[in-house]
Amino acid sequence: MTEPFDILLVEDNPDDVELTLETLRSNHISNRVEVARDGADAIAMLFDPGGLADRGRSALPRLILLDLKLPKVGGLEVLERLRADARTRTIPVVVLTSSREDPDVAASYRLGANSYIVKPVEFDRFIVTIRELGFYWLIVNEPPDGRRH
Amino acid sequence: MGTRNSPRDGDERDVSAIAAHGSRRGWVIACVVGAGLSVWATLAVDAAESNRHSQLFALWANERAQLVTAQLETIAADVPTFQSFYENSETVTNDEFVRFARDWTRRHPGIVRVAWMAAEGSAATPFVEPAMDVESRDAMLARPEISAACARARELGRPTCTTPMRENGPSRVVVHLVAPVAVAQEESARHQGFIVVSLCPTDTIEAALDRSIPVGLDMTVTDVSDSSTPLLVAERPSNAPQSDVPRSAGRTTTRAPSLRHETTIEFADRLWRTTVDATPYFDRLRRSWIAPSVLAGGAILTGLLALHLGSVASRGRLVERLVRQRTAQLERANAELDEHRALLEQRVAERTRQLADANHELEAFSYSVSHDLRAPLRAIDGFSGLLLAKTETVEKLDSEAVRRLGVIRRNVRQMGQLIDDLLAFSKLSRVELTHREVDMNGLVRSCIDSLAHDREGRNLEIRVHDLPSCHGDESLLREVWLNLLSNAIKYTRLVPFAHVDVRAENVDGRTEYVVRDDGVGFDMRYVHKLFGVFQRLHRAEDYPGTGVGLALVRRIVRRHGGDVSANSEPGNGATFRFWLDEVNHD
Repeated sequence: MTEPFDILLVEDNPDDVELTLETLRSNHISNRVEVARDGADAIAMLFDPGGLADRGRSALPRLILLDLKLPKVGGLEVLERLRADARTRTIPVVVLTSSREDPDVAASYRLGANSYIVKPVEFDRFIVTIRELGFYWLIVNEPPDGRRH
Repeated sequence: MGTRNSPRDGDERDVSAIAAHGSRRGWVIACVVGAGLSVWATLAVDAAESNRHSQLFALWANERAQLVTAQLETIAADVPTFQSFYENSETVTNDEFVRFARDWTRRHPGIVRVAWMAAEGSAATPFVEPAMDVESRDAMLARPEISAACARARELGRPTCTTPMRENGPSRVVVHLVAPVAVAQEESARHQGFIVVSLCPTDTIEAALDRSIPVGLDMTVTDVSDSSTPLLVAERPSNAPQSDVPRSAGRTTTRAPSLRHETTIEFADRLWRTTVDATPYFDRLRRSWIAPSVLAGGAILTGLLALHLGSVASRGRLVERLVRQRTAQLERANAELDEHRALLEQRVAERTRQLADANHELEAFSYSVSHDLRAPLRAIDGFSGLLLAKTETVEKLDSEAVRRLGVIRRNVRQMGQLIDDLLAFSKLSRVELTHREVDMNGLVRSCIDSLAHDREGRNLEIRVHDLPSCHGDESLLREVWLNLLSNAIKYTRLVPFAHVDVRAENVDGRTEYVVRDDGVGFDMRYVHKLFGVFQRLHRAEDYPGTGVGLALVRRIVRRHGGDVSANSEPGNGATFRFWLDEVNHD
């Protein structure tokens, strides 16, 4: 994990991971994607001593795709941690989850998510969603620290 | 609970207080007033009676005294007649004297005897009528009292009277009236002698009072000329029946007289006092039974009044007891009510808890559904999609495999849609309605915009007429419009140039929103199934759908207090109309 990467995908479902990675790759969004399999893993990856946050801005991802329903530590808590730390506060976070429940949406935005996407069941639409959001956040969107690879 | 106790307790206290207070006070007042009035009445009556009694006595005593006095004065006043008799005659013989004397005596009761006594130095024999023996006559006339009286009479030139003297033993009191007789002779009068009238005043009184009925009065006449010793002149005790009156010796002297009438007369230069005393018999004439009767009457009345008040008090106590009973009953009833209320509240709380728990379970359920059911679906669709997306994979599969994969993917989509619809449908009953004014025009237009994707590549005209606004939940009404409009779009799929008409109509004072399409329509025979959950009147391969949409529409409008209806001619489109209750939302 010493190389810089573009997207941190925090997702526990392996099938969703595979589909997302495949989509990102085949649509030429990025193939520099790291995966954290649960909330604890994500936090450890970022905030442990010697973790990504310690290694400077260039080590951090340009986009975080965050599922909410994660084992050990949930997505909302990870989000809270991300926004609490000055080093990670400005990283764009897109909540990517199956839930369309209002409380989840409200909490996500309240805790500082940049966007909230509901994972479509239909694969075609899933592809479109991933492609579009990837395109938007990595290419269209102006990053907060002017970092463009 | 607090409000229950005080007013009733207060009432009870008041009633007891009134009853007790009233009876106590009533008793006291009754007794005091009754006693006071009785005593006052008794005293008043007694005083009145005493007054009457005294007045009666005064009347009687006065009457009798006057009679007696008159009689005595008549005698005294008539003595000059006797004097004139002598003074007008040269000589008076014994016979003449006797005749005159008898006549005179007859006229004046109480005269014992009359005598003529010649002046000193005259040898003439005294005349006495009725006759007396010489010895007695001389003895009488020689008495010093008579001599003294003669001397005084001669000196004064008018009749005088002796002090009372006893004669014939102690039984009779007599006075002697001495009148001088003088004959006028040239310049002087020659004293001739004296007329002596012996009078028993007692007999005079007797005669005087003979005419009236003397009862209960003692009469005495006393000579009070000499102030130190009054001398009894006459005594006339009452004629009252003595048997029933206790007699003590010396009645008239030892007993203090209750009533006494005194008159004083001048009887021939003596001062006589007539005293009339009331005897115990006269006292008994006093109606002394009146006062006790009044007192008794008063006591009885007071007793009755007290009894009455006592009965009032006991009635008061009865009322009080009743009130207490009722109060106790009320309190018991109240206690029961409170118990029931507490029980009900407990039950309500329980049910609410149960409902809340059920709701929470449903929430958790739907959350789980929305997340956990979708994820596998996504995988199914995704991986089958990947299979078809990758060219090298597709080349390995034959057309049948590809078709079957398509079937899988189609079903997955169906299931995903179903899950969404079901979730929306179940959430509907848990969600709280917000009531606000909803701009139906804006809402419909927004829905039409949302359905732009469905209209892509379609020759379809949606005409929206002016819709009145309504009151309700905007997000739920959006669902209604979305479902109805998407249905209209869907079921006109096979019409080359489709029309959808959205308008509002006033039917019997009710605003009905109408969505009309000229699509495939449906068989009216199955109209009752149209709004059922999962009920479809068309085949899925012709017109995809989950069969939940219209059920959702109906549930929403019913929650708004309205309803939905549908009409159709197969091949000639369908008309859906819904209305909301303007006032009554749940």
